[in-house]
Amino acid sequence: MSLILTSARVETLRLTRSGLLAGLLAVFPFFGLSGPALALFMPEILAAATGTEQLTIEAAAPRPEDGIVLFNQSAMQLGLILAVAVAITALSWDARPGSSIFYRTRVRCLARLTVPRLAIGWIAVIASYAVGLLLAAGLTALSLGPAEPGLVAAVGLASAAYLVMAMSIGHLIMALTRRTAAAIAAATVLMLVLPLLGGIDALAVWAPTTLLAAAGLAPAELMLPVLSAIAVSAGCVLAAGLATARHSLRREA
Amino acid sequence: MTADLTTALTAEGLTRMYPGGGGIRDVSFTAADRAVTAVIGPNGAGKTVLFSIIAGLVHAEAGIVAPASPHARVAYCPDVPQFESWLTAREVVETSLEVSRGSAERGQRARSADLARGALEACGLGAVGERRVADFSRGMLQRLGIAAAVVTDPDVLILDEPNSALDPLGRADVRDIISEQKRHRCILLSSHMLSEVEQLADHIVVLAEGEVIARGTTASIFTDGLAPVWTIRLGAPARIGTAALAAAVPEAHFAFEADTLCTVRFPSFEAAANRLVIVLHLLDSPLVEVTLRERDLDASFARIVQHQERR
Repeated sequence: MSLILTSARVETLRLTRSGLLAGLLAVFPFFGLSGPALALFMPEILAAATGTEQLTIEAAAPRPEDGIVLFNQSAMQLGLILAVAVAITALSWDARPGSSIFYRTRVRCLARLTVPRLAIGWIAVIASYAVGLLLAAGLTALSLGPAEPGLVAAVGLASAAYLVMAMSIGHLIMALTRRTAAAIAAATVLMLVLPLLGGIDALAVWAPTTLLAAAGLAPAELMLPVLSAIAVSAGCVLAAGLATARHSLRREA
Repeated sequence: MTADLTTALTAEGLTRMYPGGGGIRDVSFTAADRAVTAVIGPNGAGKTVLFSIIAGLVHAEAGIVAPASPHARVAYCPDVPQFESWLTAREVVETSLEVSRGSAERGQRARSADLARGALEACGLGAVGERRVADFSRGMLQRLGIAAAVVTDPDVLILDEPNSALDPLGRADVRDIISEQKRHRCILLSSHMLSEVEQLADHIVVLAEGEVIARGTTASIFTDGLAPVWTIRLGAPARIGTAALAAAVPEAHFAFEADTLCTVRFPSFEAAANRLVIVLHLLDSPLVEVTLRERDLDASFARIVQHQERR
């Protein structure tokens, strides 16, 4: 237990002192404010963007759920990449020979070192996302009218599950590569490509990427994707633990 | 090899070869407790590979590492210690201790703080314990690495190039730390600074191309095969020339750098043991000074390695 608590404490210090936590708390709440604002002014924005006589675009009047949806779209793009970077950099100690030696010569079960750090990242990201979602719900209520609590809860839970899964995938990529820049690049590409799975009807029923469109789905339709996300997360964490344990010392930085 | 009461570690037949070259082959030696065993060798000789195997970072393809006790703790301080830069020195040392312990103990946090403070003080970092590692100099990082290793109270402490890239003051500090620590545990160290090795080490293992080519006490390693040179300063010009000296003591080589300054080289200390006095008598002049010239340690080391290469 001491190792787990120590690892969690070190990760908490990393997130606070490195500015990553401040970044998370800036990014998600920013989208929480900008999403509803974008929904509110979307008709004017589109009208200003199309100034020709040949083309006229009319946007429907914004609804409360639009504020939540637009928040979530931004959060699950740029915010997702930041969240994955948090998970990847939690393993950056193993990318440098000196710090790798520091931990590998002291810890027998490396999973007790790495999993708590990932878990702290999950908590930080989900908490930051929750702050953004609450801000979005609040500003939406003020500007567009209150969004359905069920919708907000469904979007929140679905996105939290997706964030946890994405961070677990990033954690696995870093455990395999032990190269921070390469892992961030690979994970970013993967996060951009994965949503395409939702376009394949046969996969959409259970693919975790369906969670990105949670606002338009009934709660029952989210069950299988959530379970898939949990299974993928667990598999990634397990595989990462095995990969980390099998690695020997990096001979170069 | 059998372990005796003073042996802290026995390495037997260790082999680990890398596809691109490098590694060690059939390396065997013992390291005594409360002593410093230095492993020296040219770049690429396999010193770091050997230490990595002993520290458990790398698996050997063959051979065993047998500490004196099955529960012996081995701590490894690499040549370039690296830590998470946002931690303070105190936090690094506390983390080192707490992750090494693994299991929970009541009151452990308070004791960790005390032990960390003691380790930092022992390594001359007591005044900078609350400074972040990112602000540390190279020498401070080296000392922090030792503090982080020492705080775990290891039975075997491995120091890989502890004095590399340090200035003379830093080297002196690390030397003092090692001299103190060797009173409590077995120390394995490697260094390219043979003068440092000569001051610190009790035993030396010489590696070249992944194999042990020599092992023994520090004195024997550095003086084996050495041709000692004495400088003899006279109060008045000598009354005998080099030719006559060479005829009287044929095994020595003589040269007069000045009328009153003579150098004599013997093939070995053993040869000089009896014959140097005869030389002084033959010079027949008041003696001002008789000094042994600085031994060229690098030349001694090169001689050992080249002798191995010629075989």
